[in-house]
Amino acid sequence: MSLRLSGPIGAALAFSLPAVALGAPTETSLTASDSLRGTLRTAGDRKPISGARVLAVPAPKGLEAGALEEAEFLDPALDAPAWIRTAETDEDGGFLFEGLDATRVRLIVVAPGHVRAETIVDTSDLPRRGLVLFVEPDEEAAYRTVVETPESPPSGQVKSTAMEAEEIRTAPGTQGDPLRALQNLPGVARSPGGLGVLVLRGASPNQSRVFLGGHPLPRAFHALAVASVVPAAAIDRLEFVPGNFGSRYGDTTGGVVVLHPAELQREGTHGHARMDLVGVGAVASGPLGRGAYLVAAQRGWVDVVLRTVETIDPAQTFLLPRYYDYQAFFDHPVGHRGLLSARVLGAGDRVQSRTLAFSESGQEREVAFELGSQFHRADLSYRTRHRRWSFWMTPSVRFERNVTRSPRSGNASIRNDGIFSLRTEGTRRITQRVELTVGADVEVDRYQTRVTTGAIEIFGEAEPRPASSQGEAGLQTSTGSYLALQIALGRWTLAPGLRASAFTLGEAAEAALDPRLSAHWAFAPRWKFSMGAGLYSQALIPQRSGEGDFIQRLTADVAGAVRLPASIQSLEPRAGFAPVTDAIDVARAVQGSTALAREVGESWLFELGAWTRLRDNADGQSYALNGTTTLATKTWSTAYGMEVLARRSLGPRLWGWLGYTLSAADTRIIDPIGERTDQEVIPSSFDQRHNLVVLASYRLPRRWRIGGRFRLVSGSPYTDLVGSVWSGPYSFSGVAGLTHDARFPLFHQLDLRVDKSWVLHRVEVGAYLDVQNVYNRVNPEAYIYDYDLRTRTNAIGLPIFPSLGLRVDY
Amino acid sequence: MESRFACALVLLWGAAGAGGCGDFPEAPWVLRAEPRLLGFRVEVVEAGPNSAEGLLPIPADRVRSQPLPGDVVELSAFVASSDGEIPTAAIDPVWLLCPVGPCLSVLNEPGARDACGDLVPERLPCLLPAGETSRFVAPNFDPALAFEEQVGFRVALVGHSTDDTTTSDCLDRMGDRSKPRWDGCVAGYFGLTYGPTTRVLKAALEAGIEVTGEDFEPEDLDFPVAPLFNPESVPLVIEPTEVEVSFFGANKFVATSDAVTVLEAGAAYSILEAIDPRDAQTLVGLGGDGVVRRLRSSPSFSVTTDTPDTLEFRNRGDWVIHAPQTPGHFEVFVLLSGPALGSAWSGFEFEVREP
Repeated sequence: MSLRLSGPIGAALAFSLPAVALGAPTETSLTASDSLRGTLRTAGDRKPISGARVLAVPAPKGLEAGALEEAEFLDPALDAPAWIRTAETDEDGGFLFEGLDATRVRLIVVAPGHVRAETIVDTSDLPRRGLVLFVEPDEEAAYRTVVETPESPPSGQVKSTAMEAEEIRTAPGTQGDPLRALQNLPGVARSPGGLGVLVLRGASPNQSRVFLGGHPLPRAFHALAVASVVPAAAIDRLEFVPGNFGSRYGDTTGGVVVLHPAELQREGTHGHARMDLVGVGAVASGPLGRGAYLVAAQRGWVDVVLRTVETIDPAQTFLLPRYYDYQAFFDHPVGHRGLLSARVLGAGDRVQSRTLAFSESGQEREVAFELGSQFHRADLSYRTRHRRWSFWMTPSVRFERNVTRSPRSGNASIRNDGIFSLRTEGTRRITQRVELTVGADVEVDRYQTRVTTGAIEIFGEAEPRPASSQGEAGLQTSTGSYLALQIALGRWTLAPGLRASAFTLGEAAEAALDPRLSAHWAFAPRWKFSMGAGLYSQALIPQRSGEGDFIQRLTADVAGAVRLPASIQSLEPRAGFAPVTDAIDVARAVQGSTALAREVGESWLFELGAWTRLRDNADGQSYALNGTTTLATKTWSTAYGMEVLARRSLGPRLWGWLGYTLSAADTRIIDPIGERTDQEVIPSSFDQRHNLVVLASYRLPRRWRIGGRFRLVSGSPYTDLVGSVWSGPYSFSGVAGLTHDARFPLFHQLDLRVDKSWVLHRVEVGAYLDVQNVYNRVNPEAYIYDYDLRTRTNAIGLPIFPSLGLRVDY
Repeated sequence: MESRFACALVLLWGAAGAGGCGDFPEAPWVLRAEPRLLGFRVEVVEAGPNSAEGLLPIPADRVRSQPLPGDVVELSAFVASSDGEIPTAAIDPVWLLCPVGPCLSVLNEPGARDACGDLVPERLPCLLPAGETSRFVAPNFDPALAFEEQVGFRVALVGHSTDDTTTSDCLDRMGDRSKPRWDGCVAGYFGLTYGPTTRVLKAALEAGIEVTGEDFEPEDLDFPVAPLFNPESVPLVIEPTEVEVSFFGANKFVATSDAVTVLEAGAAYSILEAIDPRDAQTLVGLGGDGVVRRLRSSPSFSVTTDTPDTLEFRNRGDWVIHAPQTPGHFEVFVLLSGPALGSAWSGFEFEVREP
């Protein structure tokens, strides 16, 4: 529907708005000789502009039809028009002028959040479908729409930090990857090489979980941690809870990261394609019936690049990581208050280690070892409200497949999992002050494993022993039910919660009851003090697992023996296979934390927090395949620390933060078994005492953006070699020193990023240059030892590294 | 350069970056100023009671490397530096006999440095006679121990490679639970395995030790078998790589360890032969099913040099000697490693002359 114009409006009022650059018409139309119908759309994303004013005035002689430059804009003080007609656009951006007295008019567009535009239109030469004017958005307005300063942390959580999509997209040094962007926040350890490992408050990565749409992701990163399994385009917001999370989440003793699926938009069909050194990806979204959809996919192409290098240099053989992921989301309203969402997503990885082999035809590459992992998942989510209740139910089915294969030996391990997952939750406001949430979640995992052993040649036997294959099947489950209250008592908000968990594996079963409590005290305006404590449980199932030891082997292939930081092992893809035995253990942790927050102005948040965690690792016994149990070294993990955050929220020009974490994470040997040393306390693999991140991004005129990140981080622990023993020609066995007793030197690095975008009528083109380690500091991530393992000869670290990316938004 | 490029992609893929790589370690076949262990040799110098019968003879010019309990054994080591082969006594060696399990890390425990007795060590290492070489009687089986605990040993050699430390200090540091650095110390392990297998089993049964899991009778072991012996060094047969190969092999020539071989400056030479075919030997084993199994095996060889850039290891085990561009001398050491840890070594001196 188009709105009729109103009467003449004072030119002075209309022209008091700032004059800026001009959009341009692409189509013109005339439905009648004296009327003009048109539509206003935002240049780039083509969204209709509602509530804009369009003024029509007589066109002066001498100006050609088309968009006008700023210098040609009408100045009413110098050249008052003979008449002015005004229209206001409707919801679809449409406008209509009738009864125009001229065939050539000047259209002046004044739209909130957009620059002023003027164009000369010849009403006798317009297409039948109507005039479409694309108006360039105001640069500052582009950011206003996404500024959502998180409100107080959700009940049951002492501290929760959100990152907006724009922050994720433009954070320096992270290539727009959501979970790598997260690593800049206090409480998250720096990962080796800037790659993706989620180490939250000193907890190893397998102690923390990532959830999407209420269900856990089987893993957060693709193999070798190049990228997250869910790209930024598929999420609306990332919520980071490094500890003391509420009773909604279980089976984890570290922290949680909650990825909120993208909120689907119905305003036209949109999408983007991106390409950088890591891979390519594309996203499309738009309306579908009464609902909306989003489809996205990405494919890493590191393997393609490396294969090309191998073609150029036949002597090279690389480790080849290949990955893909995809997402298809669909939202549809149900009734007045309900929303039904269907989501399909999945990811796949394959890492191949190859060697040069010699044959009659010459040199060939053959696969020595291959590790594959994939998951495919389908979710339904239904949310609705009924009186004081709001309900959420989301069932999900997931198929996982993990494979290791060694073609040369014929050995292979395969595990298939069919998983049903269900989460249901109801929230009721009981009184003005009390809100109750009850819910349950369950995961039922039916697994099948098959281990194949290739033919084996036995010393002296004429015929090799034939290949064999053995399969197993089983059921493991994880069930939780939870209850949480949010009680407002004046300036206090209390959030007690309780989670009951049960874990089963075959006939074995364990249970845990985890009470949790958090409290928030708004003791003064804009001040808030939060604290929390609780118990957390995580099932431990001893499993035979396949892991490539890729990085260690590859680095050793390059040059002798390599010592890596302990944490780098977490970059390795791993695959779990059959449980060793029908046994299940539960690790228990107690967490406590506190935070003091102060908001300053509209955009600044200052936060100071402290936390501690004590975990019983439930590792006092070791299970063998034959069902026997032996004593093993029993350990506890302790971690404590302090976090400081000074954050400027995403705004028109500047966003960023200064984050500092002081922490210690140790493993304490409670009851040692086996060879003894004097060590009773071992620094954890993820112990980083100091971690300072200063990150800022600033918008410049003409759609330029510049950002930087500076990091100053304590070196990661590693186990050094103190000596070596000759064990054969060119063969030395390293003698390890005390576990994690050595540290890499202090890490510091500056990364810079420059973004530039160009808004065209129907698309927006963005390019970025992300330069890591601008001043080329040598930050060792690994040490190479001489052949006899007695002296270090070199250190490997990230040198200055520019990365170029291109993105086209449709 | 290739290594550097590979290094650039080692840890950090794609957009995550590339590894900054500087100097790389010297190739392991280049000797340095600090003395280095290159090999060990076991010689049965006097047959004991278990070797009195049931053993086939070995070639007269070879020395047995596979002892049986009661044999007199002499151990020697090959130590060299960029100055060439040096006497083992220069590192003030201490020889240790280690049981299955920890060896050097328990040296500070009481009794760990006691002299070895007649029986195999049970839990801790013991000291063998000191000196340039170590001669001792291979310990007898202990009926109180399981067969698996006394059929395989390790011999350890500890010495010092710099003048600012002593072997005693090295032993202390190696046994220290706080794990200090071993700078200035030299250490090496090698296995000492009794054999031939049939004779070992028979000796164990005769000593009253139960051999579990084996499906055979003592009389099954009564067949003669030859013990393994050490290979011996032979002259190197080398050939220029850049010269067209003659049908008659006229380009080949021989380098001997007792004479200086002349090479042309800047030329490269492939090592064609370094092993005496007579040193191929047959390993005899007895499976759990009582079936005797045999496997023929030849020694392998490894080389080291006192001068950088004079050796190149090519694919498929080919070694190439590169004569430097400028006249001078350099030495290449060849270590032969045979089955059952038999070994031999010798040095070959080369003189480089202008063409």
